[in-house]
Amino acid sequence: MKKGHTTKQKNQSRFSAKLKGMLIMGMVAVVALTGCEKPKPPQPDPVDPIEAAASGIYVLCEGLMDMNNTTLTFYNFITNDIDNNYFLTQNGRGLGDTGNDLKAYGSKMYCVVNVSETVEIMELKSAKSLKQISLSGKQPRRIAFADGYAYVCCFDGDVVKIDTATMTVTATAQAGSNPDGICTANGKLYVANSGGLNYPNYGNTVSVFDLATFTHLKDITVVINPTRMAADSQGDVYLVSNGNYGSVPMTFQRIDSQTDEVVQTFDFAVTNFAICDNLCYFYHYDYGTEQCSVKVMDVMTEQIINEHFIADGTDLRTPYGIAVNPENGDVYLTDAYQYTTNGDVYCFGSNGQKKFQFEAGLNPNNIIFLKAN
Amino acid sequence: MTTCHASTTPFPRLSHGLTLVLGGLLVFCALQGKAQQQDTIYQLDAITVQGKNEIPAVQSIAPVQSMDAERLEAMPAVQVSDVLKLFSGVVIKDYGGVGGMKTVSVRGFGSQHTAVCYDGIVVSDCQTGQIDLSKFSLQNTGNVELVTGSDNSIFLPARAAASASTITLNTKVPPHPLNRPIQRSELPVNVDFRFTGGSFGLINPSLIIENRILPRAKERYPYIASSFNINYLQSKGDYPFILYYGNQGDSTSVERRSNSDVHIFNVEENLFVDFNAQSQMKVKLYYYQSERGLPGAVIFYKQGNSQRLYDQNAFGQVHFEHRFHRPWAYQLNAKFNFALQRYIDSNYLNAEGFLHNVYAQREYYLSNVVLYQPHKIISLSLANDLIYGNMNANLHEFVTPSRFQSLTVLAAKVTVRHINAHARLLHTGVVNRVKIGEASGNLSRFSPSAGISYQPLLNEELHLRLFYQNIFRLPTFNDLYYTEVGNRNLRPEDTHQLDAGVTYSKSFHWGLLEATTSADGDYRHTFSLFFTADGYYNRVKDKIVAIPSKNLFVWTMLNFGKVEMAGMDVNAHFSYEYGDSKWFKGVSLSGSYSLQYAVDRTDPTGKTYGHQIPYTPLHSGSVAASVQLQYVEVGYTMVAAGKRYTLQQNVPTNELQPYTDHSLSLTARWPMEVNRCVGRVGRRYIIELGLKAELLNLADRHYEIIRNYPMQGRSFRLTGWVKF
Repeated sequence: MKKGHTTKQKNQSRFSAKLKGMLIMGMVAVVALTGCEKPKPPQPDPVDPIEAAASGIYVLCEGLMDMNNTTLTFYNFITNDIDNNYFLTQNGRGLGDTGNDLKAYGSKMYCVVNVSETVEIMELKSAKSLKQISLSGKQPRRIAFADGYAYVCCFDGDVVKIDTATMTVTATAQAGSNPDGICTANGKLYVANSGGLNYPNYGNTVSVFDLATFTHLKDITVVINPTRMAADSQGDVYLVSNGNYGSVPMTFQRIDSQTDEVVQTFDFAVTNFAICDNLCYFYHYDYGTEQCSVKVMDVMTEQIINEHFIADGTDLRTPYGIAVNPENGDVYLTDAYQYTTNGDVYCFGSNGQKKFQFEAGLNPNNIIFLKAN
Repeated sequence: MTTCHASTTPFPRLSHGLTLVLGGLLVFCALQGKAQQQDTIYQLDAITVQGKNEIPAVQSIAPVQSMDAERLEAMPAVQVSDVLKLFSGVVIKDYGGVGGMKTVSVRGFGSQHTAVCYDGIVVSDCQTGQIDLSKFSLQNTGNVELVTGSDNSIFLPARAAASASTITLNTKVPPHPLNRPIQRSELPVNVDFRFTGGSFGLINPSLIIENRILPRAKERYPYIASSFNINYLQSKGDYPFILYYGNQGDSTSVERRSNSDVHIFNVEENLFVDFNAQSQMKVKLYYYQSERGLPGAVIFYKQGNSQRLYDQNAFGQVHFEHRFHRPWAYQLNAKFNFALQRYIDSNYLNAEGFLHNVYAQREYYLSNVVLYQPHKIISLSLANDLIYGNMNANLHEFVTPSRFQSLTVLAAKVTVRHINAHARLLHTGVVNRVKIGEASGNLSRFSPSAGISYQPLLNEELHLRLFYQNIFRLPTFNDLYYTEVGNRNLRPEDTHQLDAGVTYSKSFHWGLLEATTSADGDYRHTFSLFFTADGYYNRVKDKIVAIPSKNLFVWTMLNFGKVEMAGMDVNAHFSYEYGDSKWFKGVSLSGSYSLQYAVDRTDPTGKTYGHQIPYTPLHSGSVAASVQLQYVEVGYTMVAAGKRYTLQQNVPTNELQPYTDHSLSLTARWPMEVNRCVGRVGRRYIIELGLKAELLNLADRHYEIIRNYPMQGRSFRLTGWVKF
């Protein structure tokens, strides 16, 4: 969507349509990593920026709309090589336009490409495509997994269920308008209905589905324009509502998956977050002051335990993605700058000291860790 | 240029078209004209009579490039943008196909810095600030001209001096007695009917009817003429293209453009009145209507698009001028413009399941210009333009903005033996209003410009020129007020231009023919040369760009960028005329080269500092050639552009590959003389039948000017016409 403003549009009206889409697009999906292990104690800065806890990382770079420039960066920690167009290298074709989500499940990884309307299923260790599922007319946004199935929420209101073994669509269920966030917890599927294309009448519900039957159970009322969601190990679902960018501010909420009610509305703002091992790492970027803050919250006590995660004064311009390596607790933050130049990926130890940084593609939004063998 | 043709052509009695076949390129004939030194009120008047810049390009202080209808008829060109692509310093942002948007950037400035002047009055779009050239038909275009910097003439509306560069489009006009003696035997009505058919469902009939209602028998008698143009164009636009899924060697597929149809209808009525030798008036009524599909960017793995756009545009304009006894002259211009645009996306994923946006804008324009010429070497002018524009839309909480502008130009021009100089001071006053919320602030600003040209040897058409212009573009209504995006605190985008150049023209002829028909004599061989080279240095500050600054999801327009350009424009033209053969008439060859080093100077610590700005090739150029035979003319054009970048950062993933596009045309004209007695008047006139075949992009190169908007591959067009 951003591109709508930086390159010449076909015409102004089209610009407007895209603009509206923009309000909800281009966000970062949280890498909701499940089954985290205890972080290892902080390691000294290595001379060579190789992470012992992973053999490499994938970074999904969203690109800009209408430019077909979604790319996958692969940083091979063993050889120290960075390929900023790894999917193309491995498959002889590009991922497509506006890759919104990238997640790993089992031996595969799944890339949700919004404008191209595809879900690209790749072998995790090689990024070689196993299957491309076309979701024509649906505008897929984000993906979550449970019990051998992938669930993709789409902007047309549907949730598509994919069998991860056969890689085929097995069922479709309807959520609310313009779903923009999805996660699973406690045998249930939660879908955030942003209603982003109905500006100014944003959506204010989260749809709950029973995973076993894939049927709709109820709608939870939340602050308007809900988007990113992730669950912790206690079965709490955390949710960012973007509000209306005016009178209703961006709001961070907690849903109890036992009662399916909003049980807490936090008094601090969260733009994006990642949960690992009972810690929620989050950042907030204030566009007025152009300041960003990265903090850590304990999801057991819901208290902020570190107000200034970045300990070495590293300055991020426009954070765009956050992820935690479950193997060692390293925190990765991406910087998208002006959204039209290649972004950088920063790796911080859990002590908040920068370990290394490198340049990825345009608008890096999701990171996947390839386990060390 | 018509004047010059008439004075230099060896066959004045033949029809217009044929003389021009012989006349060759417009630029030259101008050079040979004897009247060129008379930079008097008479000449200034002539500029506005025909709306053309009558000062030859070689003498111009500001670089002028132009092409007229007769030349256009004999070269491959489908749209106005095809003509501008041949000019130096120009980048056409072409979204492909007949219906695709085409805007013009000159010397690295954004397209909002290029004004489009249609028959003497600037065409405006207060919403986007840029004019889509695909709206204008080439069928009734008499002349296309690009002036970089401020115009040589100072007897012009203030708005004409308020842009970094100006494209002038003039429609075909009936022959005027000032430009060409009208023979008594000529018909009082001229008709020009054309029909074009071509690849991908192109159908384009057009009709021009010119009527000399009251011919001027004597100098002091009134003269009234009218012209009526009607034009329809449709194209399915479903051309094939190659979709590249990566780099060289990666996957490709052959696809077809879809939802790229276009249907355009426009009609114009013009009235030309000379009340007497001192007073002239031109009136134009214009209506345009179009429907088009928006094919959108080609997206990997996705088919089809469902957006459509409907445009309606109507305007009426009046130009009046009166030449008092020296030293005074006065002109008045007035215009009312209304434009309505509807955008429909029938597949939009909101609650209604579709999106329907309607935008309407109006503009009222009044311009008064006074010229004072106390002495033959000096002239002064004062121009004031009042412009009121407003806009409404069916968007949520749309502010419904309006803007009142007053532009005032004080200009002076000095012409002495070796030196030609002008200077201008433009004052812009702007008052902004909105119906809801807060309006953008008001503005008052002065913008100077000055230029000089020097002719070292009076008997050689060698000129050195230098000009400086400081001008800005106002933020558009979209920049200021667009829902969530607009920023009311924007300042204008400011530009500085400095240009130094040299122009030269020379004409040689030898072998005087005995059976001469013109006063100057006709020669067996005529060789003409025209050359211009300009170096320039430009700067843009407070560039208006979109940056996410309210929050991550809402982008805002900001005065953020700085751009620095340094470049060179070179144009050369050669022609040879052979005066002693029935079948071989001559050849011509012209070429242009542009160097545009245009780099970002915004943030020295940023990743794009010093990088070439998007969609601006460092090197580009064009070639146009023609061979003129009896009845037949062969035309060839080539445009080429080097590597470009689609985004600010000059990295390989943002590269767009270089391209060349070759096109060929064959134009045949059969003039037939008809003698007929109507009452007591003997009528002797020419009926011309014509046929033009065009092979466009003959190498079938698949390329893009805007990323993911493929250009048309090889295509054909056939045009037939009859005119008398």
